[in-house]
Amino acid sequence: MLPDSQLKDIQGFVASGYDYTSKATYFFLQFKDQKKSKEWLGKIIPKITTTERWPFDENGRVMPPKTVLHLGFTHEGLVAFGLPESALYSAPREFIDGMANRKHILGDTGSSDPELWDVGGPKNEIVHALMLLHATDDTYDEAYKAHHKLIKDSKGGVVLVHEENAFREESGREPFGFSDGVGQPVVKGLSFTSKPVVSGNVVNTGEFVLGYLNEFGVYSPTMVVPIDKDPNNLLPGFPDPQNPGYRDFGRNGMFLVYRKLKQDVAAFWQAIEANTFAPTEKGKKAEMLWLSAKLMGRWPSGAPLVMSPDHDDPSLALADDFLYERDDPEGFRCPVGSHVRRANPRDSLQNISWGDSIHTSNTRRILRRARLFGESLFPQSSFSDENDMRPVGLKDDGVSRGIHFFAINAETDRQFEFIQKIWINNAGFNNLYDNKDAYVGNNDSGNGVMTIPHVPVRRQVSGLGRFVDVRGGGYFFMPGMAAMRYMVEC
Amino acid sequence: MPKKDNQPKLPLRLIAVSSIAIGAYLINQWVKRASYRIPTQNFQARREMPPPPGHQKILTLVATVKPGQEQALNDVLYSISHNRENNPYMNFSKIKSIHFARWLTIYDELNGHRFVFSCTYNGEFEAVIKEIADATPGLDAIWGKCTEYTGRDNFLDFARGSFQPASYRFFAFPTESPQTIRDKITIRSRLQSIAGNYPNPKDVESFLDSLHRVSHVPFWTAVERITAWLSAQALAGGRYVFNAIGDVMARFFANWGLKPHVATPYSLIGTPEEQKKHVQHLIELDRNETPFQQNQFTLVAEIRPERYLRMRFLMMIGALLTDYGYPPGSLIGVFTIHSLYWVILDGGQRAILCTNYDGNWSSYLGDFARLATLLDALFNNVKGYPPSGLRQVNLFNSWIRGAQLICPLYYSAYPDETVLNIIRDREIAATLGQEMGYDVVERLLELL
Repeated sequence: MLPDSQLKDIQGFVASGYDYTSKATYFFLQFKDQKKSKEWLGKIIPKITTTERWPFDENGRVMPPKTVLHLGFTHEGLVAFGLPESALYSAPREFIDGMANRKHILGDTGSSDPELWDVGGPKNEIVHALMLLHATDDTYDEAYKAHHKLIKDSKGGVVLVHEENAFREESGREPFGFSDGVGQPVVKGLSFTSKPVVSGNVVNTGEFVLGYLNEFGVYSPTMVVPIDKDPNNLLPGFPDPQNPGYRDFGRNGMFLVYRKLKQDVAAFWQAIEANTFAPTEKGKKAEMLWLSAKLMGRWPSGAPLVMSPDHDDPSLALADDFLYERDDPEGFRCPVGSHVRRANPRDSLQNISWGDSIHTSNTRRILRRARLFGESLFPQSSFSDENDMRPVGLKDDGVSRGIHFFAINAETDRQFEFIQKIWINNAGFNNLYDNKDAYVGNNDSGNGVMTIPHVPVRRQVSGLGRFVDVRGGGYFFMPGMAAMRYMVEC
Repeated sequence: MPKKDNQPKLPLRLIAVSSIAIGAYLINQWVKRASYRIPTQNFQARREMPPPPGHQKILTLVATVKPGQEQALNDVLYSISHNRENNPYMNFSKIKSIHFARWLTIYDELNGHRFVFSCTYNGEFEAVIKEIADATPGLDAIWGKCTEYTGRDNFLDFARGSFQPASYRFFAFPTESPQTIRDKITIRSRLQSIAGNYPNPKDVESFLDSLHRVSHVPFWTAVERITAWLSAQALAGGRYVFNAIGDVMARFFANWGLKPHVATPYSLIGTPEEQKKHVQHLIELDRNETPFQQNQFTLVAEIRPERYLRMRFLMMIGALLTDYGYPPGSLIGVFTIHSLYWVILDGGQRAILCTNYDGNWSSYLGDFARLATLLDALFNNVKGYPPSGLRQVNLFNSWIRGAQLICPLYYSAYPDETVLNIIRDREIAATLGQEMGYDVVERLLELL
């Protein structure tokens, strides 16, 4: 573990998804007045949750915090706070550009164009910061009101430009019906995990938090402040004697990717149904579940296809100890183009050797966090209920539903953007010719295909559209506590 | 004395390894020269690494841009790039034997602005020059901006005069021509569309069974398979040895002159003005990149004078390994590079590096961990290279992107095909040819 002094400086979102908190609100803020904004930030800092270890009660059980607060800034937000020019220019380019300007890299085209977004797009109010409030049922209302009041108390210095409310399903499933958030990397020095750790899944701290060694054995680029601009010595210095004259604004900070993803659940299941051959409804349901699992790479429970190729096995819901090239090189169990095999190809990257593939995959990892919006179209229990024929014949009810997706990484262009561009939306991923990700790929034409290796000849699922639309998003920097204290004073 | 035990090992090994490598290289050269035809009336071409017959070749033309014409030249190139189908200057459909081509300008204080055209092709020097001239109605509008160009009629002479030989070359598939690659794409996509007619695999089973009955494997085919397997094993063994030699050499040269691991890369940060300029350059580079498929990378490096010989020696070793060391599609185990070559200019003062690769440079940078020693060994001889080399991946990235040239016009004969796709297509075509016989393939194509 990292020393306590560092744990107290890092925002907690990197170490936990706080899955026990059922409710959440995301406040999108704009700073109208620098002085008042700094006063507001001064009041917020003590409330922010860090990676500090959770205390124990008298029975020896951990007591996780009931309300959890995190804060991230856009580049424009840091400009509004009047950070020194050196810090602003030493920021990574994608962060300066902002998510909406990276639409061609991210594949946010067609119905996902930033012009159509609810938040973060060119037609929306400029966002300077994102405040994330997660809380348990009993504390949520009070915390929600308190934060609204703080914004109000800033007397126009800080303005709420947009708000998103979110929740978490008890089952941990996302609207298509699949278990979400399985297969996360274990962060060296930060992850509190009691599960046995799968070798190859432990990733260096520096892949997510700035100021630590990453998978290349070096530090990711950081934002710097000249020493004379930090008279109160609030920021940490550099261990490197070659780099005198600067302090590290980025230390213990991380980059947060936010995307509001609207899921067209009915269209997805209708497209799957159109690809079935079974004559009976019961057979159709089984075939649909099988096809959708082939497209995902895991069964709805989360059980990986590599370990359980023929049927869903809830006992393997959290299983993560498998490799592709070693266990299933041709993709007969888990297709090469399936969602999970794209998002983390492990040892299966064909363009480099086997050992290098694991290393390369680990230099692209992200930590995912998610909450839902919109009521579910059908109960998730229907998958296991023999008498419930859903999702066969599913119809849309017009409700907007999906997930608030968050990704944490240290270098957004090398990690999140790379996954999105070179693995998810690239039809030529890993030896494939024309397959984009069936779930989240930008199949704008509605003619997307997905190849399922099969003997004697491969089966192809066709007519895939864009089932997940981006409805908002942004790139945020979540500074360390010391850096935020510096922001108040700078 | 403990020192003595350690010392003699490395030089001895080095001498042994390098003499084997040099010996092998000389034999290689000797064999090749016998069957190689040098482009006539060109002294410089004699110094080029002669490719084996039937292999891809490299054509690089470098000409001086008339003073004040560089912007006009770039404008013409951009206007072609923005309107590839209907522009008055280039007719890409007439290009048959070129795999990849780039048109760009380079600048240095001594020589001013120069126009560089570089491509990889199959066939003869004269033939490809004629093909380029025929495919370029706007030859005068492009090349007329160069001092040495005296008109369409003299284009061949002009090309001979401005030709610059490549000192090191790698081709993923040296024996393939654009047409053979396109043929394989066609075979594969036709097979795909046949399979597409049977969305339910069950429907196609009886058809495949009938194919199985057609296919006979005669006795000699079985013998052939065994010999093929044995020779593949022998080849793999040979490649292993070559790879090991290459690795030792690259490691030695990468470590010779590079500083050990530097603790932090924070020295990346320049002044805000430098940062702004760098970001502008990156935006310009991105604008010329395609998002997913193939891209080109071009860089002009100034060679440190005292390192010129070392660089040539490395290129020689590299060329030897490239010819014998790697299976098709692979450059030291990296399967994203279609071609890579160095062209030395101005008597060794500078060199152009040209690559054609799959994907996006900055995104793929991390995959080059495997190439690290080789890149370090080569770039180490170049002015401005970060002293820590590729070990500081961010510093390296910043340097290489800063040094990368903006290329207004780029051509690829098969832009959607990755190296991995070509490997697979070759396998499909080879399987069809070998396992089922020509008549079955023909029948199969008739069925479409």
